[in-house]
Amino acid sequence: MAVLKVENLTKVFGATRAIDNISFDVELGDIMVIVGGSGCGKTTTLRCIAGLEDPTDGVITVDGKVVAAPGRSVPPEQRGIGMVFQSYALWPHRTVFENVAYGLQRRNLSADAAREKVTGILKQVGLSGFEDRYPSTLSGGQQQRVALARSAVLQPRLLLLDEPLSNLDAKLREQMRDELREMIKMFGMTAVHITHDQAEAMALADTMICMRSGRIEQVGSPREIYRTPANFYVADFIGACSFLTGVAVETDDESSTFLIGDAMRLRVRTRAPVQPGSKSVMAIRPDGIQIGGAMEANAENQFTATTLRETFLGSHSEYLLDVGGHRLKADSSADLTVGQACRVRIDPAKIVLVPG
Amino acid sequence: MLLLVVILAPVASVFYGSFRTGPPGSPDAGFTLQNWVTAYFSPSYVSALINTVWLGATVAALSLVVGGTIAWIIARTDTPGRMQLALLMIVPLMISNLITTLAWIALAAPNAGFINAYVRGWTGVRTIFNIYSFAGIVLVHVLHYASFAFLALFAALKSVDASLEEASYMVGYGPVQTSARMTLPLIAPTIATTFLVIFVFVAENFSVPTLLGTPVGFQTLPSLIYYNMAVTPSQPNLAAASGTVLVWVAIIGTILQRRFTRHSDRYVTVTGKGSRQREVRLGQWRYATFGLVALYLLLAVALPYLALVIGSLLNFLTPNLRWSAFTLDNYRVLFTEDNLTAVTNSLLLAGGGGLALTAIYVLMSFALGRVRGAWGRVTDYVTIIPTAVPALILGVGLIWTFVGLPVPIYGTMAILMIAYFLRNIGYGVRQADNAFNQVSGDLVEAARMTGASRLRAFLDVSVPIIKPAIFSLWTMLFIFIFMEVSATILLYTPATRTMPTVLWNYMGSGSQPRAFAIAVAQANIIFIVLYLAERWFKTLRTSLDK
Ligand SMILES: Nc1ncnc2c1ncn2[C@@H]1O[C@H](COP(=O)(O)OP(=O)(O)OP(=O)(O)O)[C@@H](O)[C@H]1O
Ligand SMILES: [Mg+2]
Repeated sequence: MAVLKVENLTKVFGATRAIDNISFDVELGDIMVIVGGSGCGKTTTLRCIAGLEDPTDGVITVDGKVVAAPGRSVPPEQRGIGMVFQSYALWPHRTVFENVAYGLQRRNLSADAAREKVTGILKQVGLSGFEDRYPSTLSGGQQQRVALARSAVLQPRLLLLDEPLSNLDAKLREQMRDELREMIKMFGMTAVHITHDQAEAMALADTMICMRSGRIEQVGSPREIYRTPANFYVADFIGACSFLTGVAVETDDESSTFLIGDAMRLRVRTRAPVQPGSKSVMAIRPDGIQIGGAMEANAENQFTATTLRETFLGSHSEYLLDVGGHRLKADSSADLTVGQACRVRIDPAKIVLVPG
Repeated sequence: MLLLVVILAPVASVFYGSFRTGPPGSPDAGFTLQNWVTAYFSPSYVSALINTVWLGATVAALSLVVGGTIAWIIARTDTPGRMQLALLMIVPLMISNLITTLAWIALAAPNAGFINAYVRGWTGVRTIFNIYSFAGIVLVHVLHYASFAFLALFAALKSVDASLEEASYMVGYGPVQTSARMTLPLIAPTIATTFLVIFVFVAENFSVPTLLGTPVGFQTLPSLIYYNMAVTPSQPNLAAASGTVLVWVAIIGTILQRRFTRHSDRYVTVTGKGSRQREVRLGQWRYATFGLVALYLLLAVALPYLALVIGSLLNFLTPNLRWSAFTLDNYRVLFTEDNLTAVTNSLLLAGGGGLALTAIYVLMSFALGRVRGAWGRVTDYVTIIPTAVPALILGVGLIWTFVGLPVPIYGTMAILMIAYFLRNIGYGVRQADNAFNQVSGDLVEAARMTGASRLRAFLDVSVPIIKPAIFSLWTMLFIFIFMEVSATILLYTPATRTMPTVLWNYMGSGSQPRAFAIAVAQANIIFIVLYLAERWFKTLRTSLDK
């Protein structure tokens, strides 16, 4: 069942169309991550769902109840939605306990029951003993957890998170990213999370939305989006990727062979028929390229390559290769030195044709 | 809209009146250029203008030197007791320079001044320092405005990103070179702005040059304007014309200052991380720097206060402190009916009026924040006009605006409130803006996301956060109104007299000890208000942080 339904949402600020007619559903218990470059309309989308911004057009339904439609808008406090802000927005004049308890004061709850709830949730986020501290005395990661607890204690139907990890340093960000997913799952919440960090998006998401200038480019699981990007933009934005342009010279139902430049022939597994003689852009992920092994006679998609650059990452290295005058990115633990020649094979099933 | 009329009408009527032969509305008045010719070209007016500019520039420069040195000592060295000294450094600014002037008359009047008499007894020099002189006027102003320069430069020094200076150390410069090559250029815009602000304040002040300069023939434009207004036969139209000269001076100063402020935002990089600047270790010298700051406080607060207390207990101003010279009469006079009216009026205007103005400025800030765009900018600029118009001229303008109106405002407390409202509008709205800016939108929205209505979120989040800033605004308005003399002096009537006007009149009629008694009472009330404000709302502490 869809907890959140967004239909034809549009938001115009003066002359800018911040959101341009987008629609999507979020299923119960899912973590939906909206990812996109700066200014693509992520925050605006979230604020429309929260009720902090009124859409120009479109319908938003939460839990089967229409909360926003043209000429109708339920105020944010009545939507039953929780939100974690990028700045955390912890109230500086209230202690950790008071921050978390604030929302409960308006539910008909005895003081003891409320206290129990707050203590319980603080324990779950690992902040027992911090009840009487003021937010300014907490570290970034701790503030983040208070912000989450403050929303989670109300058990909202839907939790919205606006780049809550972007204020943390790299190491903590990775750690909090995993913890955040665990905590959201632990509380059994449905969440919409936005970020401009594609690695964070892939790590957190059950489903991802890729946005660009107010429009949705692709919706899917992280795997789908990584392996079958819908277009050039998505392929380039999500994960590392190399691109080649070629002309189809042989085609059949399952695959086509492309001529790239004068000499390089590449077979590609295709899902739809390709017009012979047509031009296409091919996207190749680093894991689609295998380095090493001896040259085999008559093997397809086999080339000699020269390493141009190595970035050593511990478990493996990222290589930039020169393959017949084209530059390709590949991952391997083969420990090549720069300038060294090697054999590479490109898996026909891991090459995707991307429009535009 | 009404606001615009209220703000612009007094200024317009000053310009109109400056071209008339009689007050606006009088039947036999006609148009004339004579006032402008006199005000802009006659030798005595030109020399008053030169005096004004010269005085303003001298005071601004010296205040910056004194205030800047102290700011550096407190912000950047390991001088003992820095924090306490910093809080005390705010006090001179809170005591009006009229009161400091009285105190220094008691200390350094040529014959009877305590210091002069004391030094005479020691060395036989007749007068070591005569307060009735250009140097005397400069001294009183500098003692007052050094405190202002301190606050501005202290804030600037604190906000300079420490890493910029550290980078300078890392490329091999010592503390002195770093201060000269990095820190000074970084705070240069603040220095320029502060110079202009002090300049404008000094250029429009009439009370100090009137008391200390007029007896020796030194006139500034404001003292001349006051003379034209107050001394019969009064020449209000001529006063208005020379007032326009002062308006130009003030407007040019304010425009320049705004320009520099824009730049200073660009230069001064404020670190959110609160990185601490390096402290210069002074060794034994730190007692010398402590002494320097203490000396300033002695000259600006302690000695004047002592002189006022002693002076207020005397029958007449004399350095021969025999028992028979002492009396409590001056304080007894405070409790006569007339003077009690003044005390009640002052407390009422400063307390109740200050509170009302606080509320109005907060509402204005709230409303102006809403109307963005062109209309908002117009209003924004209009609110700085009354701040640029000298108080004395504002007084003239208000008289002319309201004296002809059928509504009975002239001669009431209401006209004083309008004057105070206009005088402080720039400061008040800006402070209220700052208060609101402390509450980021996120904080309010976060409350709404936990189920609070718009009103609840305002009450639970915005109000507690801005409360200290609002109370501090009230405190400052209390002090400003309580000390106000420049506009009040032209607008009050016997029923609406205030403590500063009574004090002024005692000075005029030569009853100096009585004036001293009022000054002591005023200073004590200010001390109490400041103490309570610091105690409850940390007013002084937060003004140091800004
Ligand atoms: N209140 C507003 N008034 C005018 N324009 C706005 C407003 N809020 C957002 N915009 C514009 O709408 C567009 C989308 O903004 P939004 O804040 O949603 O981007 P974002 O995807 O969250 O970007 P970022 O990753 O930088 O936070 C931008 O072009 C922005 O300038
Ligand atoms: Mg955003």
